[in-house]
Amino acid sequence: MPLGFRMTMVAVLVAVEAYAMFRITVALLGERPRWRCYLLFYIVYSVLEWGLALLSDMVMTADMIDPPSWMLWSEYILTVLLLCVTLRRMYRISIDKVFGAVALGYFIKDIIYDFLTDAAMFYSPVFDGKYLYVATTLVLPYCLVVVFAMAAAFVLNKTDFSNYFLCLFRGRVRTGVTLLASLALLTVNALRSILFPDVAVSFAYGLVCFSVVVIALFCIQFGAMYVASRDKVKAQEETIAQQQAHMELLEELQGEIRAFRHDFTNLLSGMALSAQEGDVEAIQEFMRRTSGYFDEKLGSEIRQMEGLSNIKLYPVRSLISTKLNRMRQRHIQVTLEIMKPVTGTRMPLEDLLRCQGILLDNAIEAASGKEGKIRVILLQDAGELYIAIANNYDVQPNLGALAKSGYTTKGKGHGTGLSSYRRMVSRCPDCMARTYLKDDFFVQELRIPV
Amino acid sequence: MIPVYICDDEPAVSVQLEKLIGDQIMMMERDMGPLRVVSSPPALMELQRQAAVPAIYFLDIDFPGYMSGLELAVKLRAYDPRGFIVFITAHGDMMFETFRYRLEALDYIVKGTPAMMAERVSACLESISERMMNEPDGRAAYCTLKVYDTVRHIPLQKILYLEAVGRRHMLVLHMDDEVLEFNSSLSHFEEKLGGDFWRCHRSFLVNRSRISNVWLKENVVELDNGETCLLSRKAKSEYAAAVP
Repeated sequence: MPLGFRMTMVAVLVAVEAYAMFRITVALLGERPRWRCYLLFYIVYSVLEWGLALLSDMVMTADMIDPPSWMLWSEYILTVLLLCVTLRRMYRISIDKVFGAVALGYFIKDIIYDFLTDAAMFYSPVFDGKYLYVATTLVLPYCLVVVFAMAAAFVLNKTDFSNYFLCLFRGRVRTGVTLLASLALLTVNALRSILFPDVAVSFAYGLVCFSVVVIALFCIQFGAMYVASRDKVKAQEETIAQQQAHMELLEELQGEIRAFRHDFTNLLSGMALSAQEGDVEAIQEFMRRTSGYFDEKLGSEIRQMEGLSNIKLYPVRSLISTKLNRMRQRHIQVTLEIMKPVTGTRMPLEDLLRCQGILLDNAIEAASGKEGKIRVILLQDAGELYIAIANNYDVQPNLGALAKSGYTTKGKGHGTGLSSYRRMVSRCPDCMARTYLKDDFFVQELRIPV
Repeated sequence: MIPVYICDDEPAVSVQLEKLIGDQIMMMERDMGPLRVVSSPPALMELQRQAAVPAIYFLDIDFPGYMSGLELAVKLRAYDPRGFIVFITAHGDMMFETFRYRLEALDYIVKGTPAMMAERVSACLESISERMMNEPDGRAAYCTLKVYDTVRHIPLQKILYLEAVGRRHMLVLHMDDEVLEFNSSLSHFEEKLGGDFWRCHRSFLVNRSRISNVWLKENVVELDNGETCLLSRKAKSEYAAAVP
């Protein structure tokens, strides 16, 4: 066969293989496949493959049929690492999740591939034409690999498998177990070839592996569905708590309106008397006094409710309303200003919630004991979400010390909030955090691109 | 002289304000002027481009049919980061904290009786001239920092040091009473800030004029507010060569 044909064949097959792997992994992570990312991975991957092919050409002598095992190993490890790094770069997902997904994706691809090549070997009739032979034993299985991978990706996307998969990475222990399992998956093939070198890879073996994978996926799915349902219950509980806080606010408002009405009828009857007597001065005085009265009495509650209803992200609304409740319990005077609808940011929602939680908790802790004042401002513009949380203080905080990790006013074991806040900010590209003192207020500002 | 603009779509208010502000400037002999009145945001933006910055802006909060006062102020700020913005509003319950923090607006004036407004205007002008006195004049060195639509000019004397944290190109800019964290690289700033700053460690760039002590034994650089930066071996030998 001419060299050109062989080279194109290899290039196409590598592209197909890389695509299958990429597609499954991305589906596992629940992201949309991006062509740029795939191209990048393909280029790096094919460079690796060609390099290894050249190397094995140099290393191998005539009597060796298979390349040495260290070569296969390094190919294995390097491929996984490359895919990990590429995905991490392009999608900005933490390394543990990417590694788990890549390991699983690689394994699935391997299984599909083994299964299909065996099937092709097993069933394909013997041809004398070389090209036909290549077509049946190489091209067809590889094409089928892509078809299977697409089908798998489709199923994974349809069932929202990524949510369940990502559930496996909650908490340290779970992450550790998952990573170990993915490591085992990665090495199972290599281990098998070392431990049982004489067991031939057959069609039946491929079928068994295939069914094992399917069963394992089902297990993961069911396990994770259980976790997800528990999460759902928790989220509902949170919503109920938020509703309750809202109800309390409404009740308070209602009480005040009742008091206001009572006051107002009294005042009006007083004024009716003045009007009868034609006392213009008294009426003017009354007007002056009452114009600000309503605002003073009910303004802040109404404005808070307005602000809260502007938050279209329900978890954020629930967080802020619970924190507002806590502030009210501590008799801290709150100014909440949310002028425009807040709809979402580029920062992941969990991070956004944690960031806001940390800032609000810090403000509540640090606000002055006697006359605590906190200002919470959210403003979503065209390009960014602007968050400012300001509190007054008894003792002026030392910004220099604050910037060092682990600063706290509460003694040992505390002070992790700010450092994890900082970590989350640094994880989000183009975020900006600002901390400063202004007019006796300690202000924490956060700008997140939308 | 620092220009003063009034932008309000109600002629009655702008005439009143013009008189009030003009009188105040005259009476107190403030270094402000010329005083100009415009009735629409686009006209103000045009005028702003023609005259000097920083300037003082008295802006109505809402213009029917045009952009809101907030958007106008964002645009003005983009061109004039050090200007002074005062809002004029019909009601006292506006979201002023938002304006104060997001735009660093100075104050607001509630439309009302002339006596009340005069008092507020005078307070505003007083605080502006106080701030101008405290601020280093325009010739002092500044470091410009652009984040989205906002540009900040930070006086170099206020900067203590810059610190790189993590591997993700996160920079922490330490100033007097302020800490700023954003994405950038230290080498970029080293180039931009030039010789007044010393790269005393791989992840520290320190303002030379704010150093109080260099502790060679402890490998730290102490700043005049007591904070410390690390000192690398390379920088130490540099320092030893420069200071015999």
